Order: sequence, then structure tokens, then C-alpha cells
Amino acid sequence: MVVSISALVASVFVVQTIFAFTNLSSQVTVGTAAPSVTGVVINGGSPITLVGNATTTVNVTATITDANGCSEITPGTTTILLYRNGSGVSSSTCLTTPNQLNCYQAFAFTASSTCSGSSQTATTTFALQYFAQATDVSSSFSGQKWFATVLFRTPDNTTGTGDVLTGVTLNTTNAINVTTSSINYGTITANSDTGSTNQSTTVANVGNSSTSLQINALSTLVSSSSFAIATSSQGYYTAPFTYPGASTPLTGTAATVAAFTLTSPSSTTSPTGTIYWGLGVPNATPSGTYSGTNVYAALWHA
Amino acid sequence: MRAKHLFLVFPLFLAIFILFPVSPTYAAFGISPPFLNADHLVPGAKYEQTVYLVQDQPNQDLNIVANLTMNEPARSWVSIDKGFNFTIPQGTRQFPVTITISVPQGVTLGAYNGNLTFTTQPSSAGQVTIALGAQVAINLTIGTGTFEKYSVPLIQFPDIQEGQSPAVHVKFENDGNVPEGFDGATYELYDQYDSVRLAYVQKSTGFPTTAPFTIADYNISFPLDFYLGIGQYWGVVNFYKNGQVVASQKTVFNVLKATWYQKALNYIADEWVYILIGFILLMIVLALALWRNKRK
Repeated sequence: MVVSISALVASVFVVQTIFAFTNLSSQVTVGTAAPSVTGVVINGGSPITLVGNATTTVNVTATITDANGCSEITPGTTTILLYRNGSGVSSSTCLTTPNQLNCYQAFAFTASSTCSGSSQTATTTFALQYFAQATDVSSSFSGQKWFATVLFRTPDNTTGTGDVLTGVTLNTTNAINVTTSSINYGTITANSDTGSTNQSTTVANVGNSSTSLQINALSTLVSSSSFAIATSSQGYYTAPFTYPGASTPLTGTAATVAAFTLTSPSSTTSPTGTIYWGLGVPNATPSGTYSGTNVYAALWHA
Repeated sequence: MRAKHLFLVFPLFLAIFILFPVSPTYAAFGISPPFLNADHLVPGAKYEQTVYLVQDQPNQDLNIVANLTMNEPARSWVSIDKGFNFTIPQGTRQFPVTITISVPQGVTLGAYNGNLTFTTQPSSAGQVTIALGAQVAINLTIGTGTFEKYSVPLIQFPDIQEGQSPAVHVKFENDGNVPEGFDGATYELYDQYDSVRLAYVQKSTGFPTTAPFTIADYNISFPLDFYLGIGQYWGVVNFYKNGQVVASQKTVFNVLKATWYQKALNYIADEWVYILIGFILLMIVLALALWRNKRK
């Protein structure tokens, strides 16, 4: 009994001694986790349609996640690449040689949600030029897609990269711009013609494909008293001429202009061509003001 | 007398043709895409394609006339949702026009070609006004073979409310001439650090079918056997067809605080069988009580 009590006292003493003289502490180092970029989406997953002679906004969204929390995400830096993937263009080439035909870069990634937990969704907007390369069927890059790659770097210099799932198609746009809105023949007496004085119109290719041109009269020249000048009295040609010369008589149905093809633009300086016009006013045509409408229609050229 | 006659006739022979100069600017106009290539049609098929009429300066309403050049019988298969005369409203840079090809049964197999021209109708007078046009080349091939082609350009994980099942949003593009859909899927749920797997769900039914030549957007739900609380999670989804993974995605999503009515809806959705049995029993009790009152 005495032994047991002694042992108990001794044990308590030992325990007290340990706790009295041992200062236990704990320490852990939280490592830097690499961020990840997921859910990269271009244009909502829909094909991209461009507007002729203008830029078109295309959004790229992505979610950035970092296990170290928002403090690593918010001050981070982002490079966003939007590019045609294939035929010598990839994320690595796009990173070094951006251009407006097939590779766009952005560095501003705007948060589209508040950073919560350890992730944030962000969006960047690209302004694609009208001559960005098409990838749909019948285009020069058929079967390819436009991809997006998002490269994120934290203040700790850890990086994460994310790619779009499957990419999207960029559609062919066939568009022209005629730099004058009308043809003005001036004053011509009856039974005469414009001779060697041509009226010219400049046609610019403002799409992302080669284009030909079709011309026809939507309405022939008619006076206020309903007297009409025959449609074929107007003639056009791709070079200056003395009426009628080598000109093609205008028709009511669309006719493709011979030897007139505008290549696809590669910069904002669009390829242009000129159509020259002449007119013959038949004998016995009453005086007056005549008006009509001629159509310039873009014709897609593979 | 003769001189007087000449005086009257002279203006006819000296007709003056006058046109006025106008401003030198004009908007660009075009179409995207400028072709409709339906190569794998079969008798009875319906094919739709949206083309966009595009303009860079939509400063005013723009009237458009469409003209279809195509021989019968194919001509009668083509329709346009906007009709052949319509107006592009001011401010619209991309105006969608859906072209539908409805191939009847019993048609002769082969190739049918034509074009559809859209012409602007500018309002002007006293001059030769220039109108702009754009054309869609229509190339149809009617055959009998099965053609399978589809893609999944978009998979997203929408945020959900607590208690709801994780869902996946899918855009399914079927370019083939037969209906398509997934026949299996797996879903893995991880914690916010993508380190602990919380659930694994397999699914082999309940996938929508996408009709030939169409694009479908739909959500697929992956029910869990536990209550998913507020927080951030990682989801990994794989979609299968014929035993092969045809689409997959991995990203984070949020589970948000549910509103009281959402909680009620979730409860009803989860316990609807018991609620229904309870309701039926209540109706029986009420009916018995009414019957007993009537007998008294």
C-alpha cells in the first residue's frame, strides 16, 4: 500500500516536472501551391462572326484557382492568347509573334466575379480585325480552330496555364465597301454619251476571304415623268474606256465582272479595285433628272 | 411654222441628263458565312444554318430584299425565317438570318445548287444610287448514307445552391445526319483543394439526343447521396460514346447559400414520394370524416 502511494506520488512528480520544464511548440511551413487555370471558354463556345471593315469583340473567360487563396490570385499577372491553331501557329509562336491575322495577345484580365475561397473567374475582350483568318469549311484553314491559352503568374512567380477545350470556328466573312454612294454622270445631251469621261467607283475587300464582284441594275434610270433610259445604256469596265468601247452593258440580272478579284486583306489597308462607268443617252430622250440604282454584290471567292 | 415646230421638238433632242453629286462615304456590307454546304442530306432531312448580314455603320434602318436563284424542285425546299423582304434595325451590325432546307421524302438523289442574294435598298433620289449586295452559295447533296459528325465545344460547371446536385452545362453540335448523344458519363467531386475525392457518380441514361444538323444546349445533373454544403468544389466530368471518352472537363464551381424557397423545392424534390403518400392519406382521412358527418 505504501509502495503504491509512493509510486503515484512519484508519477505525479515526474509529470509535473516534464510540464514545468518542457516548452512544447509547433511549426509548419505552408508551401506555395501552383495556380491552375481551368474552364477556358471563347465566345461562349459559339463560332466567331466578324463584321466587315470593323473590329469585332470576342470574349475569353477562364477560372483561376490557387490553393494559397485570393491573395495569390488578385495581384497576379495574366497573358491571354487567342490564336488560330495550326499551319505554323500555336500558343508558343503566338507568345512571341502576335499579329492581327491569326494571333492576338492581351494582358488585362478583368474579374467577372469576386475572388472567393481560392478561385476567381475573369474575362478579357479581344477586338478581332475583319481580316482575321477563317477556319470554317471552304476556307483556307478548314478543319482548324481558334484556341485560347491563359498563362497566369502569381506574385510568388508560380505559374499556371489553361487551354480552351476544343476551340471555336471563325467564319468566313465576304464583304465589300464601295467608297462612293452614287455615280454622277453630270449633264449629257440626248443622242450623245460620256465619251472618254468615265465615272469611277472604288471597291474595297473588307472581309476575310478573296472576293469577286457582281453588278446589276436594281432599277433602271427613270425620270420624274417615268421615262426610262434602257438599262444597257450604262456600261462598266475595270479600266478607263471611251464609251462604249470595251465596256460591259449593264443588265437587270447580276453579272460577274470579268477579271475582277480582290485578294483577302492582311491589314487594315484593304485591296481595292476600280469600276469605270459610262453612259449613252439615246436620241429623243426627254430632258429631266433621271435616277436609278445599281447593285454591287460581293461574290465569295475560294 | 417650220421654225416653231423645230422650237418645240428641239428640247426632246437636246435632253438634259442631270445627276447630282453626293457624299463620298458608304458603309461596308457583307455576309458570314457566304456558303451553305449541306453535303450529307437524306430524304426527309431538315437542315438549318444561320448566316449573318454584317455592316460596319448601322446608322439607320436598312431594308433588304432577298432573291433565291435555284431550280425546282430544290427551290421549294428553301425557306428564310425573316422572309424575302425585311429590315435590319438601326444599330445592328450582325443580323442573323436562318436558312432552312426541308428535303421531302422520295426526292431524286443528287446535287442541287443555287444562290441566295441579299440586296440593300438605300433610300436616295436624283442619282444612280449604289446598293450593296451579298450572296450565299447553296450547295446541297442528297444521298442515303449515314454520316456521323459531332463536337462538344463547351462544357461548363454552373454554380449551384446548397442541397442541389452538381450539374454540367453542355453545348452539343451535331453536324451529322443522324441523331447523336452521349451514352455514358462519370462525374468526380473533389474538395476545394482538389485533393480529397468526395463523390464519384456514374450515369448511363438520361442524356438528351441532338437532332441532325442542330446545336443543343442542355444541363446534365449528377445526383449525390449526401447534402452538398456551401463552399467551393472541383468537378471532373467525362462523357462517353461507344466506350470512348468524347468530351471532358475539369474546373471549380461554387455551392451558394440556398434561399428558403429553394430549400423547400429541394425538400419536395427529394421527398416527393413520402409527401405524395402523406397527401393521399390525408385525403382519405378527410373523405372518411366527411362521410361520417354525412351519415350523422
